[in-house]
Amino acid sequence: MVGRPATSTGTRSHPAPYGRVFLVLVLATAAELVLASSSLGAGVRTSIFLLFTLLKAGLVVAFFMHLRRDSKYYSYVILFPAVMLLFFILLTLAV
Amino acid sequence: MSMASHSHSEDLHRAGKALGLDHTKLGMWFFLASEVMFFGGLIATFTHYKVNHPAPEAAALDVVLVGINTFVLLTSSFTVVRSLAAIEEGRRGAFLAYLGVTIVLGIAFLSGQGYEFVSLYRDGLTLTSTLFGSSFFTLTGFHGLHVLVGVIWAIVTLLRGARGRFSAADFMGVEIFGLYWHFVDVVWIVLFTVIYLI
Repeated sequence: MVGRPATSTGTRSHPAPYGRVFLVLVLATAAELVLASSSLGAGVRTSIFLLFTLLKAGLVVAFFMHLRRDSKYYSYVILFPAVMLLFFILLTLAV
Repeated sequence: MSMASHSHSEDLHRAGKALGLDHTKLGMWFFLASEVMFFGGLIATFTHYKVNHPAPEAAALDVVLVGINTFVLLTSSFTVVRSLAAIEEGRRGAFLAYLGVTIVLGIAFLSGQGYEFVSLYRDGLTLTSTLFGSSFFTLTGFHGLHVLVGVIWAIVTLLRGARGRFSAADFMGVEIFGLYWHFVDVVWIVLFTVIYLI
């Protein structure tokens, strides 16, 4: 299957929503800071923090690093070690 | 006959293009993949100590200060992507301006981290004081080192851009720098949660 062309030359066809992505990143971080000083249970807070972290990291990778519209092969290159990392961390916690 | 005249590297280049790949960008993604494993080892170590050997020193961390630093780094990612968008459209002035702001934000982040390190050292938390200190300073220190490399790379890119390098038809150098900078931002997003929030 042929991927999308590399983006080394020419301009991108649609304006990217960088401003909106940045706004979400800022709001999510602000929410995390508020949550950090809240009296919610540790389990609930940790779950929300991890969810927000995945959201923020995913937004940066998908939009700012352009994986959303670049060839999927770039995604495979970075996703494999990322999944391995999660596996290692879970393994570390189990020891 | 003409096929035989093609060099092996030209064939590889053509094959990459057919898959929608640029060899420089692919090389950068492989480098970032290796960086995932590098930081993965440090994060796994820190997480192990944090979960299995909870340290009271963790309470000494200033979440508000680091929260501000997090906003600074997130903003720098935004200015980098705006810088790339500007040169893609041939707007050299905006490209250089956004890159300049990125450099200032990177230096601000490093200054905030330096202030944090000095404060912690004054409170007795050092690289060799405890397991927590060792894993904390190693992890955040290596991240700071990556930001420093990013700032130097941004300065070099700015100087090259000011001399007429890069254009709407050739911006791969800026895009490669951007990939590095955003990756360092993503690592910080993870570190902020693992070290300071959880």
